[in-house]
Amino acid sequence: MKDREYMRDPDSSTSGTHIHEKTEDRADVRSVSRNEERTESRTEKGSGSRNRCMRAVLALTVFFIFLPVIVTMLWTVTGRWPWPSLLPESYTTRTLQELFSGSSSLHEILRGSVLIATIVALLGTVIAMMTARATEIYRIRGRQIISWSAMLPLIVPGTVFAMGIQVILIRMGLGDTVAGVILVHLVAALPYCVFIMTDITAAVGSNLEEQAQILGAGPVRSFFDVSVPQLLPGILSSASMAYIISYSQYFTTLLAGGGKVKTLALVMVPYIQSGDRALSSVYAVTFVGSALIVFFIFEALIHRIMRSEES
Amino acid sequence: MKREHIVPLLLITPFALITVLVLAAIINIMVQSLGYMPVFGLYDISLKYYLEELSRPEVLQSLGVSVRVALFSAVLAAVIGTIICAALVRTGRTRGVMLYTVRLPILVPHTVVAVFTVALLAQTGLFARIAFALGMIGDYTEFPMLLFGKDYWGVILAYVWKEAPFIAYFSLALMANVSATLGEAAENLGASPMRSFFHITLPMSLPAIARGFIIVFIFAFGGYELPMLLGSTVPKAFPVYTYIEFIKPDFKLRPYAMAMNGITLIMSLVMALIYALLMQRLMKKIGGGYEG
Amino acid sequence: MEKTAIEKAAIEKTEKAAITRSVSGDSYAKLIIDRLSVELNRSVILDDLTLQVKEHEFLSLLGPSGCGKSTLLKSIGGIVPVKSGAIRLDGELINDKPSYRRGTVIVFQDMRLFPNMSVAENVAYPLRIKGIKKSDRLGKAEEYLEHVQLSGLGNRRISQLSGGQQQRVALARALAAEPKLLLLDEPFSSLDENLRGDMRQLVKKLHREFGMTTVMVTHDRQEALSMADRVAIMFSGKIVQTGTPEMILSSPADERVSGYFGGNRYVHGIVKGGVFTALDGSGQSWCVSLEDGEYDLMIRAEVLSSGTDS
Repeated sequence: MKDREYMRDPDSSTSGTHIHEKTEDRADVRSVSRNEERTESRTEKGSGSRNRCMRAVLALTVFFIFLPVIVTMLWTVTGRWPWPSLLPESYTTRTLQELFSGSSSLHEILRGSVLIATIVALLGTVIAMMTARATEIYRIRGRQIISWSAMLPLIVPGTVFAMGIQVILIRMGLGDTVAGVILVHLVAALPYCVFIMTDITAAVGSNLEEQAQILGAGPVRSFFDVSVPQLLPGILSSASMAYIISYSQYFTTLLAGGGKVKTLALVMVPYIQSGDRALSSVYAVTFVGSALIVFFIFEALIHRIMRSEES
Repeated sequence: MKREHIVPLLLITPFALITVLVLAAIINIMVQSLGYMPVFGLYDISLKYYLEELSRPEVLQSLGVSVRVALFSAVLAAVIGTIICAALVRTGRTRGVMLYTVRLPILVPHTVVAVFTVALLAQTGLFARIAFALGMIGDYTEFPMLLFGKDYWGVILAYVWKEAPFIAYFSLALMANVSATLGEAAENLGASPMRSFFHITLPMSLPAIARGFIIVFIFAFGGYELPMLLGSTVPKAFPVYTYIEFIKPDFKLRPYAMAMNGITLIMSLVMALIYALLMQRLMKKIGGGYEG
Repeated sequence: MEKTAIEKAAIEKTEKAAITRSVSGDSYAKLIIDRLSVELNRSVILDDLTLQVKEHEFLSLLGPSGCGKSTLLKSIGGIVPVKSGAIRLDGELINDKPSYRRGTVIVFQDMRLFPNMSVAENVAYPLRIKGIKKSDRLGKAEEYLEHVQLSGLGNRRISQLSGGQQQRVALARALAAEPKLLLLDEPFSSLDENLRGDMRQLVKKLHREFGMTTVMVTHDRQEALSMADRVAIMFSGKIVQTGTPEMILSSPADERVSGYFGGNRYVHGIVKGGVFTALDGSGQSWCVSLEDGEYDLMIRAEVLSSGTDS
């Protein structure tokens, strides 16, 4: 059967540039959210037993993740919980009151920890932004070396680094200071910040910034007006990550701060070692609670930005 | 120098300074571990501190403990994490509440994980009480000593609680991507979901899983908090032992502690190298990954 | 034996009837889609859609961007769930069957070859699923590779092939699955223009050689018309017209269809006393045998370009 020639439609969009169709037709394989549309459809149809099995796995996962949290929360209000009872025999808010009422300095410690973590988040993100800009936009030479150096704190365990840096910090005059603690936390958090900012800086690129400059905006102005809004999800992710990492640091705080810089993560440990379950549970719950609040604030902000971008 | 050359150099300066700091720490360790501490009048450079440490049975035992903990933790976390990841992808729950739940343990520091572990796994913990209620044990001493025991099972399980979700989250983007495209194509050609997973999705997700594995291994090997809080006093985990040597008041003993740090460093470096080599071979086998 | 005039007339009539029958789809329908509705993200993509595809037929599914043709293909293939309606293959309802049991194979736009397998292993994958021994299935894979003019490339890795070669591997792999229904989702859109012509010829050749019932989605009108036995035009989630390419062009079902093929002109005017006069001020008029009244006159593009005054 020979090919039949038909008249070409002059305004046909098939010759030359091909315009891809909309999301449901398009094989876009980048974002997980789009894939979710596809996998959702595929999995809704999924064979019953297989899906049930997978759902059971998830149920078990949720169970084992929450079980210790719930038990610990019970311990915070426990009066007496002797062996072998499955539930506390008596409840009291005494432990909670003791720790949160005036005399104890839990508030101050919280404030200190939050402050340090915030500074680390700020510094880490800004430094990561600068680094990412140098490698992705300016394409500085030696990008591979930078990439490997960024991974260094991941290969060197925190304990090793802390023991190695202590004498250096002392010589720098930063021994047992908050600044020293911030510095060590920064080292721990920076790899993650750099990864996140590198990815998003590469994705955003400099096209729009160049456009703004063509329209007359100066380099600094165009960066803040145009690029920063687009980088915002990455900036928030990076800050969130750095915050949590700093907030959670124990050994590095111990060595760099010499026990004088008190963070929640540090102060908790003697109580845990003491074996007083109610007390250590209160500290544990306080820690996780305060970390979660910050984490969700960041997440909410990120979601708000992403959603306003889609509309 | 032209402006375009100055700006990137300025931009990279803070990062460079931090890197210098990290390198300084490493060099300090290597130098001190060889015995060179001019401040305290130690000038000879030798490997004797390494050799002495490595010849002591407690040190070797301690190394063995840490390697064992790291290996078991990483393997279990990788296997369980992959299963969780597969379940997330297969049920389409790659966003929302389920994902936040999986991310929760990542936010919990090791010290708090210790609290959680004690609550569940201690001989008077929840599981023991459930076992008692079910009549499986008569007294709490009959419950296996998972915590504070020589086998360090409590430590391993604690690491798994935190790191399996980490690996699941870390591998999610890649696995979801592969499953939705190549996995779908395989099923389309007649492969059952199970076969599609094992033939295509899992092999192609290995790069992310492997990366997670090595991160967990190095963390578990060099981790201090969990073995210190949940481990036994004999044998000690290697970082715990190292720290005890480190805070000894006699500074002339410092090189011994630094030699131990040096050993940890070398081990981590070796692991990273093995990983890099294995990744090269892996990437060749799976054809450089899938980018759609 | 000489046929009588009556017999000849009868034969002519049956032949015409056969043509009408094949046009209306009474002969063996391999795929029957009955009032199919599909929703994605709460918007209706396929709206009460009905379509039949005959055995061994090559059907082009044509329509503008966003009309839902890829979604239709994916619903047939079992990748997209169906809200209501029925899909029957060989008479059997396949709505509830998971995609790996349907016997329908989709060749995707992005090819989706498995990077962790060689070219031959990719093509042999459907055979591996069926449990065929390694040596046998690699041999068969080589045969399929010959059909797509890629013999000898079995040991290469996917990344070593060009785009056009990759698409051919995807085709060979689909054929190896011996599907009841072959579904092509704009298979050439990621290829260069000059490659597309070769690929079209290849697909037609394979269709001749293997005789597989094929549905190909495209938005390239030229492609659809030149390759297909029948064309189905789709707009906004519904099939608007099906027929041979000639039929579509000569008797478009409505303005949208004729407009889709472009170049047709509509003239609004009045018929009075057997004369149609255009109301667009051009003063054109034609003699027509129509009743008095207001009309839209459609002048086909071929007619316009040939320069005739009809």
